[in-house]
Amino acid sequence: MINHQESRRYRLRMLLFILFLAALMLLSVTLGRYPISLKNLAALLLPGKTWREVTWTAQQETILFNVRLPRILMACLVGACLSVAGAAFQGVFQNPLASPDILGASSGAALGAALAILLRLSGEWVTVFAFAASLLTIFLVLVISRQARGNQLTGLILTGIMLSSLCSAGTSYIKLVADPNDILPEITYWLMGSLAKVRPADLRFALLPMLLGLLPLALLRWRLNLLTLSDDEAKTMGVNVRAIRAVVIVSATLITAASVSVSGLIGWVGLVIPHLTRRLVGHNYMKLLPASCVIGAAFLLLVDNVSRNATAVEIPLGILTSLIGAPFFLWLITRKGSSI
Amino acid sequence: MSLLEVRQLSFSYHQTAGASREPVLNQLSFSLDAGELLAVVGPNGVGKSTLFRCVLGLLDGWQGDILIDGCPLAGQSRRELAASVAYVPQTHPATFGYTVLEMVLMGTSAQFDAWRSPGRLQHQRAGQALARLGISSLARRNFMALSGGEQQLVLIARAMAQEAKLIVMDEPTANLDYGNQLRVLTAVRQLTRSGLAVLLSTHNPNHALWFADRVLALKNGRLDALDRPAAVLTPQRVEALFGVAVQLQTAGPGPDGTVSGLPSLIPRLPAPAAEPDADGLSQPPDKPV
Repeated sequence: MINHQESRRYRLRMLLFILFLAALMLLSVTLGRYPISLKNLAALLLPGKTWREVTWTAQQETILFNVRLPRILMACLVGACLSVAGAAFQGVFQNPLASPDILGASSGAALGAALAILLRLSGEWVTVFAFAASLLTIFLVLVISRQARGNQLTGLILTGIMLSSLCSAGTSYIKLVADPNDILPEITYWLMGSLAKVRPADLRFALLPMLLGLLPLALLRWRLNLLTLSDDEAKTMGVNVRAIRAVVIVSATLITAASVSVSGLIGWVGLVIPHLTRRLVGHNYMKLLPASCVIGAAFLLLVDNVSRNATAVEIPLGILTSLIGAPFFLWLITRKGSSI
Repeated sequence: MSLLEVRQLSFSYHQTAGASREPVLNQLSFSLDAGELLAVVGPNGVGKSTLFRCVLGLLDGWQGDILIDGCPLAGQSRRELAASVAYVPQTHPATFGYTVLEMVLMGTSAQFDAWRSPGRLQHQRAGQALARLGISSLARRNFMALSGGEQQLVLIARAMAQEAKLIVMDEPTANLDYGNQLRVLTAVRQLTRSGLAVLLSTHNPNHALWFADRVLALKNGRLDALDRPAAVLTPQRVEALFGVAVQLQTAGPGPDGTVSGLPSLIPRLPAPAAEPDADGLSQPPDKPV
């Protein structure tokens, strides 16, 4: 039966994606200014066994557990979350050009982070401010758009654009009044997106909202297909459109907010990866969502490796994702025999 | 017992103060039995779509009774309703290129909980629906790349996979070419022979004349007539409904002796000029073959 063939091909592809991601994660551990070999990694991760011939320094241990592993895991999580959120928003808004920041989650986070940096708060507070501001922005978008007349989705998008613009104005003003010697560069650097400052605490902070958001999306992924149809069609097929849509928007916002609050603004991932994945496994969210998750994780990890290893000074991640994402996307949409 | 029973249905859109509150539907009553194809005809804006949206549970605030398979429509959940009524919209451009099989599987969504996905049974039903419409070969094709007629058949297959006994079709042939219109309506007609009830609206009185078991004529939201097609679609009524002069061409011996075909409503054209114009610019009306 066609169905069996197709699901076997999908499983095979998913296996390949996962193996690629695993290999990339191992490789990423060894990359960096301070050398850590795979043997070191094995010895450090599996202390029960005797690794007589392998030795490591305390410095290696510190770097592995406090810097490199958190950063690698965070790159995977942020890549996965932004990609899944992008795919989910594309479905909800029935628009292949939707991305995770469509409702203003990123602009809100940027304003929160800029404010925290202006107040000279510590790194954790910048994350907390960014996360809270992002959620607050989306909450306002949802509340205000309920008053909008006409098409519910159009109202949401327009409200999102307006609040985004308000937040951007706020961020610009903070940059204007910020001390150009130390505060302004820090804000600018945050806005460009980077995982350089990720520590285990960030991982602990972001993990819970990410899982809380990913779980409903994973469970509702078949229903997401029906949201791409007209409301009338979805309703008459037995779907509670309003409820499912609300759950999906809140979940996707949660994982977007958790991501950008620790990584800063990283564009393109949420738009490019779902598109690439659609090409590879089709549009069915049963396959699209898990595949976007794995491919997004691998993509951002790859880019982050370039970001921290290519030059002596780190290139901010946001610049690189645009640099790679935009030409790649152009290739994707102009490729022969393709349609968006 | 009838599958669909509508009693004294009235509906008016709530409008701002000052504007008219003329009811869109006014004391409408009719019923539909299993295996029956009921066509609703009437000019644009007469309330066909409003009627369908009421029956599908997409509109609130109507008065009267709507019973589906004996159960009142009001108070049923979306999933309960989806088990008894399916909807076939007009073909429209889709956003994402789902395969035909995925599209048809979406119709089965009311058969499992929100956090689950189609299982073996649903795949079976989708396959059967495609087979019954003779489009199994399309299963893996991209829905967006199909012709309008094929898309419409897929949407009908989706409604069949939903396993509802009543299918509501809002002008299913509106965007189709001549051949596809007749193909789709023939397929719909065959479905009703297996016990499905179909409530369908059409802009073309001939389609109602040829394919429907009964015809409901709507006029200003009121029931104008409800009977066999030939009894409802008289030239007089069609003229009154649509404001154009028509005549009925009945079946009869054609030029070569065979039956010329189904009775059809054809436009009553002004009589052709008796003689060609003197300047010879226009063609003579009866050009010898």
